[in-house]
Amino acid sequence: MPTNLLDSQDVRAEKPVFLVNIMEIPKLNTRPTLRPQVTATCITYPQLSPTVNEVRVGMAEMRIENKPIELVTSVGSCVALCIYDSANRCGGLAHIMLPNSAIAPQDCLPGKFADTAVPALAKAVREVSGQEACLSAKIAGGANIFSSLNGTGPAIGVKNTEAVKAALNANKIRLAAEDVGGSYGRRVAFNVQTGVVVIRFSNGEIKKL
Amino acid sequence: MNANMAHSKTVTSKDSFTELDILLEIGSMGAGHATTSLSKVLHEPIKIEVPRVHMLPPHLVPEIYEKHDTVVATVFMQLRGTADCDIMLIFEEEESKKIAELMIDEVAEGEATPEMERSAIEEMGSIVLCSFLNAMADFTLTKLVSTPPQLIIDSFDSIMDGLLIKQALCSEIAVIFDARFKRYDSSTEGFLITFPSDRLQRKLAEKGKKWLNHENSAQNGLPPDLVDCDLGSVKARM
Repeated sequence: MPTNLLDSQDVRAEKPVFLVNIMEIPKLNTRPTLRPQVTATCITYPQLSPTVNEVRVGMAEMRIENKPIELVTSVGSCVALCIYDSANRCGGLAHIMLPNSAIAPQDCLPGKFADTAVPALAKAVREVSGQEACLSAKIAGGANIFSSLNGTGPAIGVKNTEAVKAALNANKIRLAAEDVGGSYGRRVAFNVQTGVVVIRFSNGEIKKL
Repeated sequence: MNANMAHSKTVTSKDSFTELDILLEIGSMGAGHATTSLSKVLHEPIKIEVPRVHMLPPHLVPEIYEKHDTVVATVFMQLRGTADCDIMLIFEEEESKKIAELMIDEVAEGEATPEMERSAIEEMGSIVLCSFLNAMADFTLTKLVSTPPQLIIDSFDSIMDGLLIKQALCSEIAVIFDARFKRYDSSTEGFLITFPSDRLQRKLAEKGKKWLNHENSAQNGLPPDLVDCDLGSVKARM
């Protein structure tokens, strides 16, 4: 006797299983005012503001997408690197923590260090697009939040920014825009289809790159 | 919490007795004192959760708090000298404003200016963190010298990442001591988060161990001078 009923060919032949992706069914808000208005001729849906799904990218993480979503991360001294392929409308975001992977063990996360994240992210974006890619990069972050943390020499945020720029240069990727430095955190939202990066500061200010 | 949190570890008092347990005990005592002083400053009862010690890779730390873009007011202090340590007292922005109001109402009439609020929060943070440090220093007979408090108002993740970068530079695993507390009629909790360095952990463990041995020997009827601190067994278990 099969352990799983679906493994049996007979059952499958008699009762075809319809797989429905629940995520693809548009969600309706259950509030009464937003229910579809049934009129004599057709059903009209109330106009909802177009929202894009947000996916959070954690520290030292790297994520590549070609669906219409926003990749979101929050950076202080870290650097958010967005690489966009304008030819195929896809892109990826990496949350870079440290400038140099020399201190890391062999099996480190590629998204953690500037010198490994740039080539890894560019390669991954090229793989997703599958064709001739036209890559450009936007970076944000590299702030200096704790003024009392610094010893001598440049702050870690500045080092991170410089390391990312150097790595972009070495990998021949154009830096399209940047918003770096300062002493405040940034919430970075990268729309992978349009390539627009929206930066929100903690005081509510918004800046588009 | 996601799947790659599986290899992280949260120490509670039920685990085997290690250096981290000593840290947890000493920290809990400090957190208790800190809560008492906060309660005294605000003239309000404060609820506190059982403190915890987390051990996990630095980049996974934001996942355990899940505050991400919440704007928080953080009072930050750093221990100087051999016992390097970062200490933070974190309240959500709204909550910190209420705390500031409570403090200012006692001494001044009328509307509080933003500068007064900032100063009040900084003062409150300084009182709470110093009583935390005092309790730890008194118990272990160590000298803990801190920098003046620095107030930062920003989103939780961006505040944490500066400190986590520092942790990531030192080691693959960050050790965090955290205590959470709440005002009696409030819905949001405040955090006391500490990143003790290896050296401070060792120092505290050494003192704690000495103290424990002293207790044991007193029970066995041996004079305390004859019992040496045995740190070797503690290190072997780490």
